[in-house]
Amino acid sequence: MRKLLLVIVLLLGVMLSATTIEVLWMGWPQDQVMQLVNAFREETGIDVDIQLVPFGQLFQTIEVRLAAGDGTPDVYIVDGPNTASYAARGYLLPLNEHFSDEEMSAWFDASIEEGSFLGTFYSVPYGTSSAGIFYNKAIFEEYGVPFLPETVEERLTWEEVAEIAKKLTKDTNGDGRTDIWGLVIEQIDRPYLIFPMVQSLGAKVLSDDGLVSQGYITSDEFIEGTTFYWKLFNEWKVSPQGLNDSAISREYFGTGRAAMMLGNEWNIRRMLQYPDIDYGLSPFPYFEGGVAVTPTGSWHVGINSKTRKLEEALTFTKYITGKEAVITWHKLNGIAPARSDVYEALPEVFDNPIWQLFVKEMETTAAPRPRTPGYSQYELMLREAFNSIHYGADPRSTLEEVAVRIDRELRKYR
Amino acid sequence: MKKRSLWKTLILFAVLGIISLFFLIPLIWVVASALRPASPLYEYANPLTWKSFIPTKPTLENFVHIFVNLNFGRAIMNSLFVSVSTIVLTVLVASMAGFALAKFEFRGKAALFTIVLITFMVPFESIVIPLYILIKQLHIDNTYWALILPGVANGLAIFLFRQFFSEVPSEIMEAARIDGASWFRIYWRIVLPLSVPAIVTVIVMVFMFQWNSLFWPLVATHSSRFEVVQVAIAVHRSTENTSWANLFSSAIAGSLPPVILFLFLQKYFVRGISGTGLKG
Repeated sequence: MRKLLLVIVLLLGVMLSATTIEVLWMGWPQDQVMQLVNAFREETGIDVDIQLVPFGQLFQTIEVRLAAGDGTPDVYIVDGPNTASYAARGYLLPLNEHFSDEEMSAWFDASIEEGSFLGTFYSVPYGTSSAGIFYNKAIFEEYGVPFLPETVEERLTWEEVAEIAKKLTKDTNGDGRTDIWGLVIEQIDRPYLIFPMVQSLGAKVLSDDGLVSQGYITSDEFIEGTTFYWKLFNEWKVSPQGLNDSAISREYFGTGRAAMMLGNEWNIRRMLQYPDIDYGLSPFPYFEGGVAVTPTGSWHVGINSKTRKLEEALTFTKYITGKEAVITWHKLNGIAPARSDVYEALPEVFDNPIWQLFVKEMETTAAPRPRTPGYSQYELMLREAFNSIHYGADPRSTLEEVAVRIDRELRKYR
Repeated sequence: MKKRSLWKTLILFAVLGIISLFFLIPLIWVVASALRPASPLYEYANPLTWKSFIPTKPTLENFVHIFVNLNFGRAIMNSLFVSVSTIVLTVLVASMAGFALAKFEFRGKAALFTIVLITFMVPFESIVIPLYILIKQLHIDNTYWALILPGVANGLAIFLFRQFFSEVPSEIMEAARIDGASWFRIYWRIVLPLSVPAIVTVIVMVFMFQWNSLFWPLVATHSSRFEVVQVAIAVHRSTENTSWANLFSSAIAGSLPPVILFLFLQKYFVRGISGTGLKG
C-alpha cells in the first residue's frame, strides 16, 4: 500500500508541474466554463486544473482551502462583498502594481470599489449586477392596470408599487387562497435587494469602518424601510412567504403566478425559458421623499497571496476578466459584464431598452454592499433576521437583537 | 367473523394507502419532472392535475444529457469506488478495534474507548480544517485516498462492533484458545462470521455516509476526475440559474445505487433483528 501511495504522489507531482495552475471556480455549467478554459489553454499553453464548486458549498470550501495556507488554489472566484474579508486575513494578493490605469479604466467605478479594501485593489471584477421590477404585461392588461413606467425619470415610489401590488393580488378561483401575487422578491432574505429600500430612506447599513451595526441597522430609517418589507408579507399580503429559493421566485413570475418581481438583470436570460411571458422592466423603486439607490456587485477574481505561480495566475486572471473572454462569457451565461467596453462591443444584445435601463442604473444609482471583513457573518445574521421579519416577526426588536449579535462577531476584526 | 376481518383489512389498507400517498406524491412528481423535456418547474403544477404526475410525452433526454454530456456516469463510478473501498477497510479496521475493546484487557482501555466515543460526537465541520491540512501534509489531497481514509476512521462503527462482540460468550473463545487457535484465527473464523448483523449495519452506515458526502469531497479533491455523485447533483443549483431537468434526473439516477443496495441487503436486516432476539 505504501508503494502505491508513493507512486500516486510521484504521478501527482509530475502532473502538477509548473505549467498547471489550480483554479477554484463557481459551479457554473461545465460545458460553458470549459469553452473559456480550453481557449485559454490553447492560447497560452498554461494548463488549468479548474474546480467547479456548487454555489451552496462555495464559500465554506474557499474558507477551508485558504486556511491551509499552502498557496493553492492559485486563482479563485470571489463574491464581491467578501473581498474585504479575504483581504483582511491576507488571503488575496494586492493587485495595484499588476494593473495599469488603462486596464483599470475598463471597469465600472462601483465594481472597482467593491474589489478594493482600505484603498488597495484586491479582486478583479468579473461580472456585475443590477435589479428592478419585472412586470407581467398580460396580468396588467387582464385586470386593467396601466403598464409600469420604464425610464428612470418616471421611477415609481414604493408606495405606488404597493398600491399596484394590492390591485393585482388575486384569488382567481375563489378558494380563499391567493393564485396571483402582486409582487415576489427574487432573493427574499438577502440584504442585496433589501438594502436599497432602506438606503432610499437615507439609512446607512454599517459604520464607515465596517465594524459597528448598532445604531445603523437599528436606525429609524432602517426600521421604517424594513417595516414596509414586513407589510408586503404580513399586512397587505401581496407577497408570498417562504419563497426562500430564488429559482422558485422566478418560477412564480415566469409562469404567471406573480404580477411583478423585484429581480436581477440575469432574468433577461432566464425568462427565455418561459416562452409565453411578455414582460417589461420598471426601475428599482424609491420611497416618497427619498433618493434612488440600486443594488450592484457580483463575482470577482482573486489571486492567492501565497501562490507559487504568480506569472501564470496573473495571465489567467487577466485573460478571464479581459474583453474577449467576458464577451464569450456573456454569450454563454448571460451575466452582466463589469466592463463598459463589452456593452459597446455587443450592441445587438445591449441595445434593448431593458439592458439600457440596467446600464444606466449601474452608472448612476448603484451602491455596492458595505465593505467589512466580517461580511459573511454580517450577511448571514441579517438574512436570518429578514427571514423572521418576512414571516411576521417585529422588525424593530428583531433588528435590535441581531445588531447585538452582529457586533459581537465584528468585534474580533478590530 | 370472516366478513368483519375482511372489512378491517380493507379499512386498514385504505388508511395505509392514503398515508403512503403523502410520502409518494413528491417522489412521483420528481420522477415525472425528470421524464419531461426541460420545461418550467411549475408549468404542470398549476393547476395541480393528473398531468402534474404523469408526463404526457415521456422522454429520457434529460438522463441521456447528464450521462453523455455531463459525465454523470463517472461521478457514480467514483462514488461507488470510494464507498466500497471505505466499506471494506472500515469493516476490517473497526471490527478488529471493536474486538480488542470488547475482549482484551489492557491499560488505558477505558480512556481509549472514551476517545472513540468522542470522535463520532464531534461535528465534522469543526475538524475539517485540521483534517485538510493533515491530508495536504501527507500529500494525498486530490487523490482517492483523501476521500476514503477519513471515512475509515469511524468511531461509530468501532462502537457498534464493540457492543456486538461483548454479547459473544467468552467461553467460545476460551475453548478455541485451548484448541490452539491464534487470536487472529478466533477473530477471523469465529467472531467475524457470527457478526453478520453488525457488519450489515456498518456497511449501510458507511455506504450512506460516503454516498451522501458533499462538502468533504469538494475540499479534499479539486480535479473533475474525482467528482462524486452529490457534487455532480449540487452543481445544478445556484442563485442565478437552476436547471431543474438536470437536477431531478441526476438526483434520481444518483439515488438508484443506494436503493438497489438496500433491496439486496434487506433480508440480512430482517435476519439481524431476529438473530439478536434469539440471543437475548
